[in-house]
Amino acid sequence: MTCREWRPALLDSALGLTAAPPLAGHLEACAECRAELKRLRDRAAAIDAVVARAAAPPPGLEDRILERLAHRRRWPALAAAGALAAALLLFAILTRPAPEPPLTLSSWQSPTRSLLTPPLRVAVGPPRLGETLFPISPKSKI
Amino acid sequence: MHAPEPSFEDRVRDAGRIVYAVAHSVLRDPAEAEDVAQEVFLMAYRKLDQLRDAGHFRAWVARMSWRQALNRKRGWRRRLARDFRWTAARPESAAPEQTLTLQHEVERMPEHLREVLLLAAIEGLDAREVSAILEIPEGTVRSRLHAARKHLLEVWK
Repeated sequence: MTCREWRPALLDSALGLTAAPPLAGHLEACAECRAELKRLRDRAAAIDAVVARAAAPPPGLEDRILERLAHRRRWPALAAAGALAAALLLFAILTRPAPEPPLTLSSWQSPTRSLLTPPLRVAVGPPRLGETLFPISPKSKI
Repeated sequence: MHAPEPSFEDRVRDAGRIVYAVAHSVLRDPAEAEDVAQEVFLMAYRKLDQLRDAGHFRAWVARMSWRQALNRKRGWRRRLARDFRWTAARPESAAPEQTLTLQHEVERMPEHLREVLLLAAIEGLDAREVSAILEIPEGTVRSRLHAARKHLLEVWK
């Protein structure tokens, strides 16, 4: 077998697979393949390092997660308090007395006008046709 | 005698990094990944009583993170094609140009290989947990991971 034909076995060996006995025998005899195996092992380590470091977490990650968790745990209590306050406000709005209508010039009456109206007329209303308001006979006593 | 039940804060501190990294593996955006991590822990807090085995909390939230991130990504796709951003961290073992080339190769990789590669790279997630997140057999995780790394090794000049 040529060195080129040994290459797949060299790759497997560089990646940690146990070298099959025939490869071990070739490596003992071939300095070039031994050097290539060393180069491939260094590269495999570099590959692992690049891939692993890409996923390194940012500092303080766990603290930020815990902080957000604590915030979320407080949130239901705050929400309940807010809902209660909203309910109380709604109740106060619905049960407050109706406001007096605003005073306008057309609806305004002078206080003296009611004083000028006869009290009885106010009580019994206006006299109807053929009716006297104060039926006073000559014999009647006052 | 049973160990005392960990507090929710302990759980966040234990699994926060993994939840973030899982979301980041899908979204490739630090701000979006943190947002997903926040959502996942809020959901987990509300649904904690649904978790039957407390020992599986980490795998449970990792799975939630995966689903949430995928949902968010689908939303992106509907809106616009988005450029993926990687964190600014640069490895000392690779020059920036080589790193960019490698990142480009990762993006071009078939999705079923890329997702396994990125999840398996998360410190603290083993093949069993990756298989639980992706709902594929553990052996498939191992073979896809090997295929993904081998592909990068071949194309990365």
